[in-house]
Amino acid sequence: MTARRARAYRGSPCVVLPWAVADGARNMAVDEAMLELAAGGSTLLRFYGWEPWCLSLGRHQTAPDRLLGRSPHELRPGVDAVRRPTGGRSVFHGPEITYAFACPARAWGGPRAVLQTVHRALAEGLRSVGVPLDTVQGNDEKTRFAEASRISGASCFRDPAPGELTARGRKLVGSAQCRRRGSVLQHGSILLEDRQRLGDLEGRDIGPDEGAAAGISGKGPAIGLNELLDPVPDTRLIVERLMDSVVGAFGSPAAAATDVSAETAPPEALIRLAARYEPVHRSDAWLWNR
Amino acid sequence: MSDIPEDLRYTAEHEYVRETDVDGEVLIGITDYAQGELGDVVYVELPAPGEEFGQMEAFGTVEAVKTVSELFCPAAGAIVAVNDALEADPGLVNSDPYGEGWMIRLELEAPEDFNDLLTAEQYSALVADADEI
Repeated sequence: MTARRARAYRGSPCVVLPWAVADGARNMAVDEAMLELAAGGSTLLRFYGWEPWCLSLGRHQTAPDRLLGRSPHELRPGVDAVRRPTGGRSVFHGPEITYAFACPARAWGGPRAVLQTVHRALAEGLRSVGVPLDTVQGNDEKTRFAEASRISGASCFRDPAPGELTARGRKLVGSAQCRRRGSVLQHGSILLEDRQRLGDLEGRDIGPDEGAAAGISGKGPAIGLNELLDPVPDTRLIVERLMDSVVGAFGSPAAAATDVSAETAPPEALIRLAARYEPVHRSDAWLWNR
Repeated sequence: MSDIPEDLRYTAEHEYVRETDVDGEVLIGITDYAQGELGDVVYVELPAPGEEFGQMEAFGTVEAVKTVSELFCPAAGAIVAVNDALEADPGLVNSDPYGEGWMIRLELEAPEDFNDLLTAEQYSALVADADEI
């Protein structure tokens, strides 16, 4: 980065949005709105949760025939389904902290640099609450990570991708990106508990016949904070540490809502844009487009 | 060092445009620089022949390493053909971006639009600028 640009971009603050819990369509609409605002020069960060719990499919992931065209609530009562604007494979969004970060890609060194910087910041935040993370693997280990790039019915958490965070050799944080008109959106899941067997479209049916599995916490390729910390710190504390780390990496906070407990409203422009995207994410045409 | 052929035109979003032997028809794909930045391409979503797009309207998407990137139409026009080979082998975008990895063949609405696109020299400067960041 040139000195001239470094000065300019370091002056660009990171807007931190308030913690929110919403359903899948709303969450994806807000993330897409962040991406559009980023195209105008904003850098934005938020942490959020899901109510009801939700299965998300990757942008180009093919839904199995048994799921196509079915109402999300038919799949499992009380469980939602959405299709993300980002790549990768399915994720079951249950007990987790989800993050979304959007920025003008070139402002922070390009999409790859954004990916690495966000993961480094998340690692710093997680280590600050005592999470024993493995050493972050780099892009150079291409062969090992080839499987993570392949689009299939497998859960995102089955395979780590370059730079993703693992602990005890199991994946703790899964992320994906979308690039559009010079801006980049990166969002991902930090598991509080591992329920990712429910996000695997290959090995496990997520239909109503498998009702009893809803409470299963598997010992698969994913791991939750509940297996790493005893006790698990309050979610609010974890979010504050993660937020501090990411904001520290990308600039000083500008929004009024840096306190996760605050009831501060997000920017008007974001609300308007999210309202425009929300019907798309609620439509069967988008959810079952593959 | 990325390959930037002199005889092509480019966009700031890293698409290239190659003239064909049919007046007003061009081949479009993503540049060597773009494929290198993306990494291994695993999926390319392309439109159907006959569809029309405005200048810099998104005409498709490409996915690599869990990242989806939109593809932009360098000039207004109608799709004449798409590269069906990418469905079975999206890696052609990486291995031969200017050849077998082409994406769409477009009939330009206004053939003179080709001249408004970036030259190789201008695109090289843009890429050098991006690398500097």
